[in-house]
Amino acid sequence: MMRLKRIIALVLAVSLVAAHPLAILASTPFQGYTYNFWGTLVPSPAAYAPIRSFGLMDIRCGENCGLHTARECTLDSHIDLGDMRDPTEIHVDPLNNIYIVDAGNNRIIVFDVYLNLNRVIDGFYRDGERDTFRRPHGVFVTDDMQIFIADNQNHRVVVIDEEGQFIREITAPAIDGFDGDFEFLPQHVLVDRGGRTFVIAQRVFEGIMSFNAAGEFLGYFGTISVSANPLDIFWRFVMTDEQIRAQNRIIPREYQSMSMDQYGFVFTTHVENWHLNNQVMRLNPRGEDVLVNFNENIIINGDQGWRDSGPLSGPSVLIDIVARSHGKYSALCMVRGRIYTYDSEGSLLYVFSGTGSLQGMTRRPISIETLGEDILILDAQGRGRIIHFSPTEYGRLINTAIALRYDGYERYSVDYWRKVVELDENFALAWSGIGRSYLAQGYNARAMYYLERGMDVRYFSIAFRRNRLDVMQETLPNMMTGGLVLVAVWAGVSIFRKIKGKGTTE
Amino acid sequence: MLKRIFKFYALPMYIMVKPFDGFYAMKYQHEGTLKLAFLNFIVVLFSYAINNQYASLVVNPQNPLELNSLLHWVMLIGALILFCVSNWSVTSLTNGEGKLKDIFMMVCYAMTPLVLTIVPATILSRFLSAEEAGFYYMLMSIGVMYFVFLVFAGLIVVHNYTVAKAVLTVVLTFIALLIIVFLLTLLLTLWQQLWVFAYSIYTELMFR
Repeated sequence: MMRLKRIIALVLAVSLVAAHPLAILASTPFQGYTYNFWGTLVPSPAAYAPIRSFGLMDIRCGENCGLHTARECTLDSHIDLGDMRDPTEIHVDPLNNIYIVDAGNNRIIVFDVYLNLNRVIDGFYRDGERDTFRRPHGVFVTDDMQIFIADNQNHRVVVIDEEGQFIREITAPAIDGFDGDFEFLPQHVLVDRGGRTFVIAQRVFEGIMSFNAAGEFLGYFGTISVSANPLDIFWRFVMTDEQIRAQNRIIPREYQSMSMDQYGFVFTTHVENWHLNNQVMRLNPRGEDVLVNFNENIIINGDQGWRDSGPLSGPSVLIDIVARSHGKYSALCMVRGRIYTYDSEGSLLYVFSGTGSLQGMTRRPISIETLGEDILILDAQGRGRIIHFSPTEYGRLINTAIALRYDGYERYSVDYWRKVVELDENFALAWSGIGRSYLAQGYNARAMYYLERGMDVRYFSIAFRRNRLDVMQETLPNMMTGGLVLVAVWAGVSIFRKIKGKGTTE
Repeated sequence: MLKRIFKFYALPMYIMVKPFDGFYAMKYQHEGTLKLAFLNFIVVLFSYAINNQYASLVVNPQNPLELNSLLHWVMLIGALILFCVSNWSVTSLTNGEGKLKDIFMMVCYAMTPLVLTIVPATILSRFLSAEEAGFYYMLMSIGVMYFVFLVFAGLIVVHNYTVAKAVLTVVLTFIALLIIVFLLTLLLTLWQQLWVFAYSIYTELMFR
């Protein structure tokens, strides 16, 4: 009896240990989800889990931080950077250094992924004279390590080098609309491969401002066309002129943020007033929106359904976006703190994080960046902190399968999608992924089954057409032979009858 | 056997080919039967369910979890009854000669194009890819458009109207339809409130 009890205890213990990885999978404070073909919400495992959350107090003194003399500086020592005040942006440069724009303290803090301080940029030297920032808002670092800083309240974009030496600046262009009391308030800055500088400025509705390498204004880039709510149009039709004047004007939306992908295309987000319009754009170098979305019932604007009133209500407001590897992009929702990741075909891959105070949740998310396949979010609430998300097993499998698809190795992705299905049977994209993989391998009939299960109508149709051809090629020879035999028999019988008939009549 | 079926279904087919003569025969020569009208409608109901269930994924991206053929049937039956009643109530005020039975029979007999297209289109859809789906939609819309035309022709014959008057009564029919729906909603809400009132009195009494 004692022995039996011991065995049971052992079995229980083993099963507990065995269940441990699953427990880790489920231990995120938020629930992941996606949308199915019809746009209804389907819960899914968390694709990303928070691995650490840190503030400025966690940043250690780096090897050459420049804040201390060499004697004071030891690698382990914490330094007092104070707290962030209204941080506005997080940026990762080509060397994987992390930049935080600490707008309230007029400085930019640079550190590496191990949280060793690199330097604090709180000013620069222009012809030997020191100059400082006033509420900088955005930062961008080019491949040759030029740092572009949108110096908001100084009405300029400053370009400095790594040593903090001034290179050049971009000021308000001398064009109509920028004279008089209109202020140039740059918020986000980005440099494309051709050396053009894109600037999102506050209260500029014509589009993203673009400047050439010499800092001259080139024109507006990616103008958002004005879209009005049909109901608004109706009301304006009814209203008197005075009432219309008292209304908000219908003007193009302001851009919220932008991020450049590996091909030099610019992902942008903007707030939409009509819930059936995408909030995300992908602008080609000519400034045209080339965002792809093959899903009929899902719009790239975050959540497809929401509460109308109360806490955490209203449509998603995508405040920041980051272009990721293999055509993926992640957008951050300001209202509910969720991060929506889409693939290059506009399919929602996973949603994670949310509003709250547990680790992995945010209160006032403001900016998102990517570090390899990891995600960093800047939470501007209180002292300010950064949350570092890393893909779980589930997220890693999806990322890998999408990467294989994007690179043209779809046929090898079937094993990854199968594992995804093992973790989450409700994920339609995984089923259609299996189907598309089989289609690429040439198993058309099998592909049809999985594509139907994943509700991938587009690829189902392709698989169906190929399968139809297969079936016809297989059966047509037999059908034709059978038909010919029938015709021959019929002809033989009728000839025979004719001869016989002739014989009888004569 | 086949001959008997043809004979049984002769009038609907005749109506399809020669709608005015056909409806005239249905009404004034009493060749139409209520039995056949019901049968025609039931066949349409079933073909609609078959279409929803079995049409190819390419033309029919239905969510099987939300597909409810009974609900569809209730809606179709309701729509038919509503149309017949509202049309009858309008035409009886505008010198229409049709009785409620005539209108009902006329609409059901006019459904023959639907009987003939929905199921074949559903079968056809099983052999079509997305590029060729146009053929499916063409077949379906031909059926529906011909049905609408037949109903219109039937209204002219059954009520002995001119075309202009028929158009007018169709417009009036839809207005009457809206009024009926409005009254039904009103009735339902009032009834519900009455029920809630009675129920609260009951609960109050029970708690005493």
